[in-house]
Amino acid sequence: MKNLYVDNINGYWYWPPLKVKFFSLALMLLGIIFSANPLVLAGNLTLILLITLAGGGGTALLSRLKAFVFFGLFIIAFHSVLNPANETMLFIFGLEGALYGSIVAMRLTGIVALAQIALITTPPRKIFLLFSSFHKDLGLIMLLLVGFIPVLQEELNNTSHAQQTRGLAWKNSIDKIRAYLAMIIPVIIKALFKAQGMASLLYLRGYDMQDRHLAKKQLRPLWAKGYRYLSALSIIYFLINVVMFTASKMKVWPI
Amino acid sequence: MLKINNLTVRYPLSNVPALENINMQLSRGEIGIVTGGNDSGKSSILNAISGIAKSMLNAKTEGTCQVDGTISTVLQDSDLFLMPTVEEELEFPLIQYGESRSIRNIKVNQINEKLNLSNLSKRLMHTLSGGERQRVALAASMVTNSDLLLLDEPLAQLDPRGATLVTDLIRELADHGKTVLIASTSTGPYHQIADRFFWIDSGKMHWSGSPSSFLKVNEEARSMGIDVDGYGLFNRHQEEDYIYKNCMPTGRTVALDMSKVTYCYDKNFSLENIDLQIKKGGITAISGENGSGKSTLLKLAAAILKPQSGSISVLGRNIKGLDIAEATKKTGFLFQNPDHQIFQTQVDQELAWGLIKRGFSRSKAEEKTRYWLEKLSMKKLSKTHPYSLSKTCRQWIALAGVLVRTPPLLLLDEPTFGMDTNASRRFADIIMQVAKEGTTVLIITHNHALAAHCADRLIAMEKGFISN
Repeated sequence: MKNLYVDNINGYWYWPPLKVKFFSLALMLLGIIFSANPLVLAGNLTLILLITLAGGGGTALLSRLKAFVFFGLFIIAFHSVLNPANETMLFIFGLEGALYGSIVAMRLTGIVALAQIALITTPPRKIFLLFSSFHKDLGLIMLLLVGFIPVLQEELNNTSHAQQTRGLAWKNSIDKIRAYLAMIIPVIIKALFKAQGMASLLYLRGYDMQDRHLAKKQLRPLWAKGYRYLSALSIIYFLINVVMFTASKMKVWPI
Repeated sequence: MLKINNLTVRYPLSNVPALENINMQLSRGEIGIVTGGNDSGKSSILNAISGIAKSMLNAKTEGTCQVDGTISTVLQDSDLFLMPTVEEELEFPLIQYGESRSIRNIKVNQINEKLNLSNLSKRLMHTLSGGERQRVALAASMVTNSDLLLLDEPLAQLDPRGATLVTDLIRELADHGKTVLIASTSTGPYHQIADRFFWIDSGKMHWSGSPSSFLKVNEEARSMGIDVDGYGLFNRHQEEDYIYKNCMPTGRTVALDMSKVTYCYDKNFSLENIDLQIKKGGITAISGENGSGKSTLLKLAAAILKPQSGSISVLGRNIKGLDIAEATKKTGFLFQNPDHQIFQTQVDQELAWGLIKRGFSRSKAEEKTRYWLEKLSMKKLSKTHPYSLSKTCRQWIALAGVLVRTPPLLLLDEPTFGMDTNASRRFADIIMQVAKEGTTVLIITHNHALAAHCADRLIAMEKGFISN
């Protein structure tokens, strides 16, 4: 079973304090978001891959990006055929669309790669502690989110094995769609059971112990502790959007 | 310490109260056992005390339930956990109670030593076996040093050695002034340590008293599905009625043949150079410690796991390179958790699906389904939604889903898990009947009585090795 975190103490991605690492990853992310030249983007991507390969976690990253490569190729093909900006045609493939598609694909790959680096090189408990320092619940939300993925993977595996021993097999695509139903339904039901059980478990293990006996009816104002960070994050998100929008109006990037 | 007065619990969407007018009392340092058959309301008592019934399950409660001190609980479903690794799982409650880092470390180490968990502390929770996970859940509840411990079937998945370790530890805790309340269908393992027994039957307090007086009502308890004798789920005097060994292996043909099979899991040897031959016909039981590779063995036989070396042949056919569906053409595999496979909205459709997938026509499949539902006396359930039934019922549905195909080789992973005596007996009867008709059966079980009762060969596994 795969776990999101891959232990490798020698890699230098594992050394820096979490805040520093996340900050540098965020800077790289900004670089990828704002660079619009395919060559610059490709350079960025290679750099990220090289750094990660040299600094540990590279093989894990590559194996996880493998699935994404096909998605990227699909985006390029899609745009090269269907993008209305296509003028220079090569058979049915337009060059402009292919260029645009490759930019989108590389940008997406870069974002996914950075997120994966963060997940591969950070032990879940550190994510928990970092986000807990922002707000008590936020750490747990992140941890459960990250921790639930391998659990679901395992459940999916178990169900797939169980159904296959009952004769489930897929030879063509219609079979496959039908097979998904037989696999997805038990997994969703198990996930629901599990979520309820985990909620009970959180309660029993003393989560929220301090708050439990306090008055819960008081609604805290938006800017009270806890909402502040969410608000700040959404404002940053909004600002990035504004910057991107103005940049595109000012033709900072060509397309 | 614990005082319950006229407690009544009603779950939403249910007409019958789960608990009615329960009165019980436990003082400091006592161990109480809540017992009863499947779905009698044992867990509801623990849920009501711990507060989940009200806060999580939206139940309506009447009466009072008074506890002096802190509570910690082990849920019945030990597959649940919160943190990725064992270490963090044990640390989590302490963080919530606001302990400092050094104290957390000391306490976690202490509990690790007591429950023999030190070698697991770096492992990931989702890679643990059922019994190991249960020990971790126990440790996580004990680590906070609470005054009242509520344990729901704490021994369910443990091997005998682990079970004695836990019962001794519970007694030790009680001697140090803790109060323990255990819910279990079997009373046997607790006779030595318990101070009081509470027998719940369909939500009402049926009987309560000391262990010695419980011996007097043993016969009645037996008939209600409570396991009073201890280790097993079978009752001695009834066992003698059976002439077992009547489904001895017939002929020389081999149903399952493993030679020099090695399987590694994450660089740890799980099975090493296993040689195993199971003759056609008869029932073979596999038992062994938690984490000794029993489930791995079954999964190898069903081609779910691929061995690193060695060859496996099922009914004379080498299954190397076959996909799971093809390799299990003549094999039925029952997983411990029935929820892995149930997805239809009606019980009979659920059973028929497996047949249709194996190439039976719809009418033939429905006919077979009807036959087996009748045989397992589940006919009146055939149109109900599987998830509206209890877990034990779903286990039966999953078993029926395997049996409808009448496969020549049957692989069962802990099939009687969580069942009370009556249900396990019925299960054993069916399995022996099936075996008599020529099916080879391989059961993984901790239930020694079940193994002794119906198996004609017992295989003990220890850390990846086999001894007969």
